[in-house]
Amino acid sequence: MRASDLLQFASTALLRHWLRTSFSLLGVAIGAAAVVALTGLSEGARQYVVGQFAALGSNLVIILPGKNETTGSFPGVGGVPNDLTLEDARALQRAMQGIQLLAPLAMGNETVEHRERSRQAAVVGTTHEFLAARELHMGIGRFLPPGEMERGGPLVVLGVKLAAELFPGENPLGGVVRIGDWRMRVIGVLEPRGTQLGMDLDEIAVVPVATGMRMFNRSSLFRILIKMHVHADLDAACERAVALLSERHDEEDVTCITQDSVISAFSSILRVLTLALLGIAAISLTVAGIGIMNLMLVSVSERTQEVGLFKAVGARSGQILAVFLTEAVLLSSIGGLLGLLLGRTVLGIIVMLYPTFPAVSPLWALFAALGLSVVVGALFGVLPARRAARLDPILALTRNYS
Amino acid sequence: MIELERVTKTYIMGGQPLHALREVSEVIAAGEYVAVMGPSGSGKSTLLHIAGCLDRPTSGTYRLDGKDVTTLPETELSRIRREKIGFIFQSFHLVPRLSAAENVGFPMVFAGVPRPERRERVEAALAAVGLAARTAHRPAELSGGERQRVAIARATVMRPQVLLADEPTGNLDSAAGRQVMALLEAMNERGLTLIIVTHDPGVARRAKRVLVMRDGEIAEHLRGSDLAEAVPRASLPAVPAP
Repeated sequence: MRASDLLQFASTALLRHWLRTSFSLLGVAIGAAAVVALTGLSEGARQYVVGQFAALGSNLVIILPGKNETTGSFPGVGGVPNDLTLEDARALQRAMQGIQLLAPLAMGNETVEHRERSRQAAVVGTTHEFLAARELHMGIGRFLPPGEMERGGPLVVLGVKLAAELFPGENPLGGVVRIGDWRMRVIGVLEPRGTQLGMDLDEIAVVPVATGMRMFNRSSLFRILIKMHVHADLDAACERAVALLSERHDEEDVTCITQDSVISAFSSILRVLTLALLGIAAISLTVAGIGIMNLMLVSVSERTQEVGLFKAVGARSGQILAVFLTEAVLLSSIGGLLGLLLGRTVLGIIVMLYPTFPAVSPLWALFAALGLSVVVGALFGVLPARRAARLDPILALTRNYS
Repeated sequence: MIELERVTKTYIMGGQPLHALREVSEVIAAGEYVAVMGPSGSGKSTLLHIAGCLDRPTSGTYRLDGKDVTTLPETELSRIRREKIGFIFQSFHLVPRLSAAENVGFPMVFAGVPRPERRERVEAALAAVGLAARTAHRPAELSGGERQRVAIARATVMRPQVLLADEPTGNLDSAAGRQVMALLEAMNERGLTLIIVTHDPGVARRAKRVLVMRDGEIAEHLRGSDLAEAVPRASLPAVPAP
């Protein structure tokens, strides 16, 4: 028996009962669309988060004070970490190889005032290198000038939103703001960037790191950002940095994380989420499969005489199995294709509403949706098809004389 | 050639054995024209099913063309049905959603005959039953007689050796019945073995031989001409010359 004949048989049988056929198609289509849309959404979420991290800049190594592993010693014994100082940062810069740039970071929360306007803002104490490390760009003016880390100065660079609020309708360049007790001159405004990892970069004030540490009255840095050269081994760089600082502090009291490890951790968490959603979508496909089974069982019992006739003219049981299985698989695969279109349409609408959200179903999800549909049809078509194949031709022919 | 040797068919019904056939022995030569008569439940349909390899005897031996088919596996029986036997039923058994041509063609689909050859043979078979003009019609658009003629075309399209007809005129008016009988007899004259199960003495009397069955046994062997006298002539269909 030829495949084209099987297809023709199956399609005429399905078309004859187009109403119930289309309901079954709808069931499969919704299941397949769920696979496409749900994986598209969670894959979009993954890409969004990964993109957020990647925007921080790749090849980034971050050093923070304190050891975030439990040491097993008594609380308080060796518990207070040594300060992470500017000297430490300079030592790293001197001793480590493969550093592209290094930016120390001090953080504080201060009131920023201009005339009668005042705002609470995150104040970042850092150096010229911060701009490149975080891959930020200047809107107007310039960033902190390059130079020695220890050299402070009454200079500030504002986030675009903060600048707009403090200097409504004026050019902030050259203006003077008060941060805490300090009077600082505005030398530049950052380009809009938006929120990144919970920090709104449009609302920060950036000051020289030495000034910042005095301003916040802190002896320790918040972070040291190190951007390595493109092909550097980040893990090795981390080890080297920790070893170097441990030597300086006489104990291991700093933590080093790499950009990659953070990204891959998030990425794998969200990939699990994608698989979970795929599982949920697969359940709806299974329900559609039960619908197909029901339809096929009805179809087989309606066509009992036809099956008897097929056997009387010499069809083998295997051929009859193939006829009904083809019907089920044809039904489910057309449903699957419709589901792909439906799912992509849904994603398209979501992308239209939220243009920044990269909701695109991955290629494997398209294959998964189609493949699962076909498998569901084959799986749930087997029982009815076997029932047809096993019919006793005499009983099948003599039942319900029409 | 059909050789039945002490063929018995027993069904279990409600715990009781029901003897549909009791040690039936009969030889039907190739090209013969045989009618099988008898009351309902006498075993004539069972005989037809066994002869057509749709059913197996409980005991005894069935040889078709000298080959013992009693114990052949199911796929071999399918092949015999496909290649050697054509069935014709009282209720036609056409597939409603398929056109006349498709109904005639599907035995060849299962046999794997290539499409162009199928088309030729379908056309020839439908022309042979006088339905060349109705190939695209569905069964619902055909009269009873036309439907049975489509069924005859289907039964003969695989060029079988044996035609088995179960009450072929049972659902037809007498004019259509005459036409169908004339066709079947024309097939017989071309060499096909024709076995007709019927209640109608008017049909049976046209056969060369008549087997009268009673309680699962062949009770009488008659010649068709023997029946003619027992039946009023008015009830017999007048068969035109083929």
